Amino acid sequence: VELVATVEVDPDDPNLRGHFPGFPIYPGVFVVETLCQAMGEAFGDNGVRPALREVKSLRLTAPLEGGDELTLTATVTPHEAGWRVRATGTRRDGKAAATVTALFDRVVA
Amino acid sequence: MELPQIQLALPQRYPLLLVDRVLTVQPGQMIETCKAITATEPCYAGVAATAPLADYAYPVSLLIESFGQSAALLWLGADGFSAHDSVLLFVGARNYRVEGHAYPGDVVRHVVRLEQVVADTAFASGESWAGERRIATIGSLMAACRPRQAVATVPQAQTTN
Repeated sequence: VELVATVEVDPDDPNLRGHFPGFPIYPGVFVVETLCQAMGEAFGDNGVRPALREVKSLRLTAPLEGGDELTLTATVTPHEAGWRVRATGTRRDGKAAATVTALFDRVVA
Repeated sequence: MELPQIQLALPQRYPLLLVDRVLTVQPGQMIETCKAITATEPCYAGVAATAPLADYAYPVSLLIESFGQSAALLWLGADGFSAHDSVLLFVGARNYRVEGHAYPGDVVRHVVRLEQVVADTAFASGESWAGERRIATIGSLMAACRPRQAVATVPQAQTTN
């Protein structure tokens, strides 16, 4: 399964006002948050939710400033009782911003 | 070290300043910090009143950020982030394992060891705890101090403190 998620980097977002004052940069950890939310949207179902178990590798190769847009493209494969995800993030200018490999558990509520 | 000193040492500000207090520090080696989680965290703003406790698990992304800021405090020391022409960037992580979750009412304690500093990049490892429960182990987390000009395409912004 391939997932694609996009996020506008809104410089007026409260988080970016604190990261950093007068100099909004998309917090790198939000790549992980975007991935978690995209997995939830794609595989979350009645009583089942994907839960991040391990970030095996995360590399942030280029920062995103306010006004930019992150496009995260993830390849999801079954792994044990959950999923293995390999994702790359690109900026609007096409530059690679992030690569992440992560494992998710399939949690039944 | 309390918030006034933490704010001198770190560039992050509300609502993304995610270290409340430094408990102990061995300069250049180890730091222990805490971050209290409450139901008034901005990340819970959209949680429905009928939501189960699982929906109040503190986001892993913010736990990583909180650990990273703790690592930066250890790396940069009390003098901290004084260079206004530099920017502190999270550049990567390896083997961040989630072992549990923190919920409103928990105080998260990070134990961070500085493993290596190579040029402008620091490597840290450690664990995060919620009370007696270990909720994460961190194989390696990397942060870098880069010149603002190398990062930004916008004119250099004013720094306010």
